[in-house]
Amino acid sequence: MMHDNDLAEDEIAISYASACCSRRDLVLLKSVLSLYGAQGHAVWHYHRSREVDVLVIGPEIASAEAAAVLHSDARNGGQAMLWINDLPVSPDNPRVFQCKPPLRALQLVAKLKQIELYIRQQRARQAASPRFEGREQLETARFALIQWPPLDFFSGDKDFLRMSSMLSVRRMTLDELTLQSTRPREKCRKFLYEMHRAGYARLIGPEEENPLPPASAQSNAPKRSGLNGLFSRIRASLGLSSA
Amino acid sequence: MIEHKILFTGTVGAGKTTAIQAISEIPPVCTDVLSSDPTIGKEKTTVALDYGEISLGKTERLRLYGTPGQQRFAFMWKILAQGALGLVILVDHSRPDPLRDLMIYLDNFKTLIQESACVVVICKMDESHPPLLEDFTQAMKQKQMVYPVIPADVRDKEQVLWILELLLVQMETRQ
Repeated sequence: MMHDNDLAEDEIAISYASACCSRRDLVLLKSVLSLYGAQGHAVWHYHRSREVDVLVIGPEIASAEAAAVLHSDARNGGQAMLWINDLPVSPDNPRVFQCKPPLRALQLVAKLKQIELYIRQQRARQAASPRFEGREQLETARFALIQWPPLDFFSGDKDFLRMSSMLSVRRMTLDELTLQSTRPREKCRKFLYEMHRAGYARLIGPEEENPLPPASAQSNAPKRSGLNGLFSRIRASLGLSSA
Repeated sequence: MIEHKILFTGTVGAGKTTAIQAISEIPPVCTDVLSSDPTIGKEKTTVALDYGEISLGKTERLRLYGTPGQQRFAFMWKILAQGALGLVILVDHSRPDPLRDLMIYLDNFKTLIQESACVVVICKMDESHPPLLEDFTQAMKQKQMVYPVIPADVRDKEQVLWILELLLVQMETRQ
């Protein structure tokens, strides 16, 4: 078992697990990883559980199972995936790194470097965000959108898309989001939790608590008073249901 | 008559006229002329603006404006942006440098975006060619402008309505 204390200052440890891989691919992967780690890159270590930084998926996965894994992956805390297969993968999913078989060492090393960079960025992002203390904090903390998520994250959930759009103009607490979206509180809680876990939203510290950016002194924006009911009328005319 | 407006902007050929046409209650008023620029890939292009409208009652209407696409008409963009409720930026993914195109509109409409609502729509998206959607969202993040980025076919009325839905929820949230 690798501990962070065993690493040089700039080194990181990356845990991985594998599924549906051929014996040949696993042997090649482990050989390349031992050479890779010896060259000053991240140190990779194998785990039996799936609670790892990188999940390696081989060619023996069924396509239905692959689709399920991809969907769960999009909402699953930024876990990277190394796909060693020919299955179609959305190119805008930043967590999936694909090597098409037959697996070759040079191609694999290139992907390992990309995965290492991705994990370093994820960890830096998490370190920059105030520590997330779990469910209790979720009830009171204010969240800011820091990047528009890839389409895979939404999995076709229009409520999540609407909530992301709301969060793009205003930092919100769970209470505010529930009120604004008129969606069930549990769904809003799930949205904020998954957005934060995947690194697309961050907690706002008390020093940044201003929920809206200050309006410019020479604002071109229309006067906000008098907008009551306007958006409902626009929705009615366009045939859009109210939010 | 009380009037409000939503602006559609983007590169030449991205689909501003088409998007307005998809939802306007009146036949859109277009100021297209024969194009003298062979690089833009269509015979006619908008030189002043496109205009459509949606009635909100007897005394109120929502105007839909499409800006001229070419950057030499940027002076028009600022005039049209005055008082707009929100902005839809259409980016033509088939052009040589769509990321740069997006940056031009983000820069020119920065004030409007920060004060109202914005949705970035990637049209004619070809996922087998870069830039990917992730590249657009990353580029916007670098500019600290985090707004919806979605691929869409603006010939489809339902997809244009979905774009407006994402715009509306921002307006309602800002209110």
